[in-house]
Amino acid sequence: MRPRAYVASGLALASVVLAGVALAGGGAGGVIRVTVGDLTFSPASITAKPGDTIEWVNGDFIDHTATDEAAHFDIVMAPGETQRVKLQEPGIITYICRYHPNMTGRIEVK
Amino acid sequence: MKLIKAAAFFTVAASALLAINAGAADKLNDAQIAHIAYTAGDIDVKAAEFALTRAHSPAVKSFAQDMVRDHKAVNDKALALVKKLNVTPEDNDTSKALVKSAETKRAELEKLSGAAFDQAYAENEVNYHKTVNGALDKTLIPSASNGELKSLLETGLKIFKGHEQHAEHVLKELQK
Ligand SMILES: [Cu+2]
Repeated sequence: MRPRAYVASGLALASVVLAGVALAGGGAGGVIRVTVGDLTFSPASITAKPGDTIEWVNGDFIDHTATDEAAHFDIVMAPGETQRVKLQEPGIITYICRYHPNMTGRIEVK
Repeated sequence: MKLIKAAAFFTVAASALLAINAGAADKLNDAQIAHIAYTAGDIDVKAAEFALTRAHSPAVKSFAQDMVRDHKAVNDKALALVKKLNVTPEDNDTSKALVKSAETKRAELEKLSGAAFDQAYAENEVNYHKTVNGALDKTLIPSASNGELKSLLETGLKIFKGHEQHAEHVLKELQK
């Protein structure tokens, strides 16, 4: 079985770390915040390390999603909500908001 | 033939807003502006709710869901704002004309089904958002005197411009 590349979790949940997924430098990892406001992801492009967690904070009064185009994660953020995804593997992730496909973001994990 | 008819109905819908673009709106007060914006959003919610019962294409269905979600959120915000500002939304010629033309358009869409419906609905969404966005940009936003109302309309415009592009994309996919 392939290890799951990403683990999504709500704010209320503790960060989930998958046992057995050995990654170089995959210690505690940092948290990188992406603000979702005025229908944009900001910063739109980020660089992260395996083990880092991306945290999206929806400051708009409408719902948004962060949806990985390769289908590893698809999280929905209500207004004011924060959602997190822990990155497990190197790679390039491009994501959009499914509700507003003009909203795009990119994460380089290396 | 059906598409020509749909286009003709759109013209009716657009004329109401074009009238305010043409300058008939200098006299609009915030209560009227709020009501026009609310009405325009409500029309799109109702059109989308109807589309959800009729649409065939998954892309059209999910677009309609997006319209319901966003326009409801903006209108909830608008209602909260008018309440806070203690403004009573005022019905006016523009909002009445919008409702009337929406009823006409609905009657037209009700006669369609399947791919013809999807196409006509998506086309109307492109045109409707274009018209409403033009009215917001050129008339409603500049005419709004309350800062919070102006800012809500500006955010709305940003959201609705996205809808316009999204509708264009959906329409293009349908025509493939
Ligand atoms: Cu969005």
